[in-house]
Amino acid sequence: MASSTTGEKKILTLKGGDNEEFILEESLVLQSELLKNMVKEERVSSIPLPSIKSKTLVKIIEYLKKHAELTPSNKEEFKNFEKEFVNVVLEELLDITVAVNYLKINGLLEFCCQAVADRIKDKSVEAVRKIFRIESDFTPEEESEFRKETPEAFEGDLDDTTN
Amino acid sequence: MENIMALPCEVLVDILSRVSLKHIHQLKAVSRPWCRTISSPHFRRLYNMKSMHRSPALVVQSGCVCYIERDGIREPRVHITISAMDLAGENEIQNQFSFERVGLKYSSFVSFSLLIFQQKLCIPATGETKDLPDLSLPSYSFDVGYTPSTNSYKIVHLFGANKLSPSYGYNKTGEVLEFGFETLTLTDGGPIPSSWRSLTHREWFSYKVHATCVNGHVIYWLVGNGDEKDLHIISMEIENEEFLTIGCPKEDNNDKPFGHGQLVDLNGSLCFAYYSKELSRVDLFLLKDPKNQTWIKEYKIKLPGMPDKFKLLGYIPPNEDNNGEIIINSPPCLLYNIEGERYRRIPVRSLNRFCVGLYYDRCFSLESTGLNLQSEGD
Repeated sequence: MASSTTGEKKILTLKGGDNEEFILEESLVLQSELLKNMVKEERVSSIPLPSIKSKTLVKIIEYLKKHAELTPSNKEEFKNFEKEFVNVVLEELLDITVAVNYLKINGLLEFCCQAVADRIKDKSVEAVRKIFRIESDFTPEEESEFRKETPEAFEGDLDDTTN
Repeated sequence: MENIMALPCEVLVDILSRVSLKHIHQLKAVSRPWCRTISSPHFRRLYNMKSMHRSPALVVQSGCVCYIERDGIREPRVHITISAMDLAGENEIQNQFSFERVGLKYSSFVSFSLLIFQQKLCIPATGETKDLPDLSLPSYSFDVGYTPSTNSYKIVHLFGANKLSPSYGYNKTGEVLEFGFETLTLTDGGPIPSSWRSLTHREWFSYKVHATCVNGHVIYWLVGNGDEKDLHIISMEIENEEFLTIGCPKEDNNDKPFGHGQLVDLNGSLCFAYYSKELSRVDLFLLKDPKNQTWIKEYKIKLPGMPDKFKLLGYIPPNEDNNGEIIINSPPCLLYNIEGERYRRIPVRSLNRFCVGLYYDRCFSLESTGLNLQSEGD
């Protein structure tokens, strides 16, 4: 992960949730509105991000690097990278999405939200509950009313595997 | 576990705004917070605004009339099926809505989100049917505009202002008639207002050729006076209800306006399409400035073997696979790629169909939504 110092490029340290440190060029993190403001206003050299798992941070830094290298000639390659990028278990994808939202990396947020939406496409209510780990908080009467009103919502794709 | 709890509301809203309307409706049953999110006016407006930029679906409506014996009386019933085809993806046809109504088969689409049916208004997406307030008669036609920022429709009813004239139904002498306008604003969650709002504006013409709504906010009527060559366009702004008269584009070599043509919304601009049978060509003129009546010939579509009756349905914005296509229903249905100057056929089941058009997924209902959950919290 760590990149060597070349010329006068500014170096920044990001600290993930499990105290793992990531050293990278400051220019890379400017893609994040949140970090950009922090760097510009406070001139910090180390930013703690305790709410983001290191595993998630590794992925996001990988994206920032690829995105910084994006030119008109490797557009196709970048598209493939993006596709691979979201091709992870849904739990991880949700972690990434939440972190990206927090960091305010707008282009990537759009892409992640679309990827999550594609994953839950046509899934039944039960499957969606399992995926997002939600317990129904409706009364049995309300629940049965839903089942009566839109039976197909409970018959759809029951598959909650999302890999 | 903590997953969804950690998913901020704005992210959930963003994700759900990318799901199909039918699925969204079902996902209200996931939990109370989901139901509240999906039912909130904020979400519904956001969903509809995104829908304007998404690829529309092509809708095929089919209807069949059947008779049901009840107490010895044969009662006519019409069964309407609306199928939608996803034009952006793999052209998959999905049965969208299906419903049955007592009565004759006469219906009038004011757009593919609203259907007017024997003084009744139907929202196909929710299957709701409601009575319309009494109309001024004789009724001539309906058009509809849509305002995304308020998630409201405005139906514009064109009616004959001279009740004594018998010519509104079939104007065989080409007599110039007086027309009036009345509007009905439908807001999400209802109810329907109890009466139409009458406008003082009047127009005079013999017959209407065609009408279209551009971008949801201006309605254009292509109308004629007596002679077939004497056409002009009337426009009405949905929001401030201002009217304007616009001349049709003129032919290249002489100053004569085109005798016939049709109007279509082309990516947010009014387009006048003129078909020349001799040249096997459709010329598309875009209205650049309504006040100064500036038309610019933007595209020529060469379509040899085009039947006389064809209809331009609209425009599909560029997506991953295409850089903008015009939909033409001739039949068959064709998609014309403007830049590539080529067209492809789209498979539309020829199932007793009487209507083809573009449909935008919109969260809109004439009743309040959800299991009356709005009252709590928020």
